[in-house]
Amino acid sequence: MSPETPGAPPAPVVFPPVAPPPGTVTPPGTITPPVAPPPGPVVPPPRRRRGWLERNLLGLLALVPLFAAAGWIHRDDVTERYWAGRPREVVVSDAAGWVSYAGARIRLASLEPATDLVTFGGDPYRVPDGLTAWRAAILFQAPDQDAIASCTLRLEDTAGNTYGPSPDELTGAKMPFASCTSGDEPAPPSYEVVVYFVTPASAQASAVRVTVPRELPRYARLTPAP
Amino acid sequence: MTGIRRHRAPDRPAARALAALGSRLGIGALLIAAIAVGSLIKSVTPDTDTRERPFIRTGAPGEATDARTFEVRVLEVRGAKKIVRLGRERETGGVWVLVKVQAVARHEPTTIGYAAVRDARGRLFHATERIAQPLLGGRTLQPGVPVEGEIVFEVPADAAVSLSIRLAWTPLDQRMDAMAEIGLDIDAASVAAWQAATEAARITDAKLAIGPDGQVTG
Repeated sequence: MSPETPGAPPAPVVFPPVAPPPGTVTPPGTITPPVAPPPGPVVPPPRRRRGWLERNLLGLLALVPLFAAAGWIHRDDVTERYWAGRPREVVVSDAAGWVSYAGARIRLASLEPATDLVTFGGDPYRVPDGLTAWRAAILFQAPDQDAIASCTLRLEDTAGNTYGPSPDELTGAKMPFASCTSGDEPAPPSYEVVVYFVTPASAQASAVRVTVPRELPRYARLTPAP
Repeated sequence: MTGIRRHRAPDRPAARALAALGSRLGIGALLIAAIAVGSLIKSVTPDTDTRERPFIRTGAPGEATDARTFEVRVLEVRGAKKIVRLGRERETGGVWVLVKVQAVARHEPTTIGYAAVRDARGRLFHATERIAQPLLGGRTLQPGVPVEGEIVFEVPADAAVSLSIRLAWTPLDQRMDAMAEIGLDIDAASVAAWQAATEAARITDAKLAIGPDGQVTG
């Protein structure tokens, strides 16, 4: 501390001149040259530490499409496949009784209790007690026989039960092979097939269903022609 | 003038090494915990076979039991040392068990594709393939049209006691589908009598079980 004269005012604090920032224009128009950096090694500014979220952001974002892909893979579950393979969407007949299905036009010409069954020896066939045999005559217009060759035929009763063709219960009766094709080569433009079914005597037949596996879940429901 | 060389705290190698070690140990502990939790979940949840097992519907002899596509009743059980089917006799080192059942499709045509008996130890014996079974496989059941016939099993004598029969529609894949299980109430005396029998049991074809009035017979 410098000696002071008693009673004199304190000496002013003098700050050394500070160089203006580089490139500062000082009036009246002169440019101050840049100040040289202090001597010594150059130390880079400290790096900011990145947080966990920032470090793993890409991975987290990648999880979004991954989860979406996992969900997409599992969308096709067994239940859906099961239902897709069941006949659930009915294709009904038009006013004239024709149904367009699997590239063919199909019509149920008649559906009635069978009275024409015979044995292989040609004798009248007696239907077992408690049962009714049904005869369905179906008309086809099918330019492509292969498209309907794998069809399944079912009889439907008024309660919604379905019955298979040429049943074991009618063993001994002479019945044509249940098919949707004509059996002729080349197929005629229009032909009729006859199919036999059996139900309990108490059941009343109401329709015939035609199902082609390739068309599932659609199936044709043929009702007796008007 | 002394220049500032760096703005960070001086290195502390021991502290940094400890921190790194702690971090690695933490990750390892998390991995072990994840594996332990996974193992615990796996041990308390059912495996695939258990999870996809058939839905067993139990019934008693004479009682209609629902197997989803058909209903079935056990009418009678008999046994023998020898059987005759389609004129051909077959003998066994164990015992033949013949279960007479009545089955009817529920809403659409179906078959009995799977038949097995289960003994008290949980062993399963499928219906024999040594004969043409009258009711299995090829016989299509129509709704409301009951059919009865015998299903034939060949089992060791010690397994014949306390058997139950299991029936389902599909021969290939019974997973997550209904299966009827009916106890057969076979006692040791019956098994001994069957083994001692000298006469062959004759197996007939399946037949309709419906009367002229449409009533179910049997």
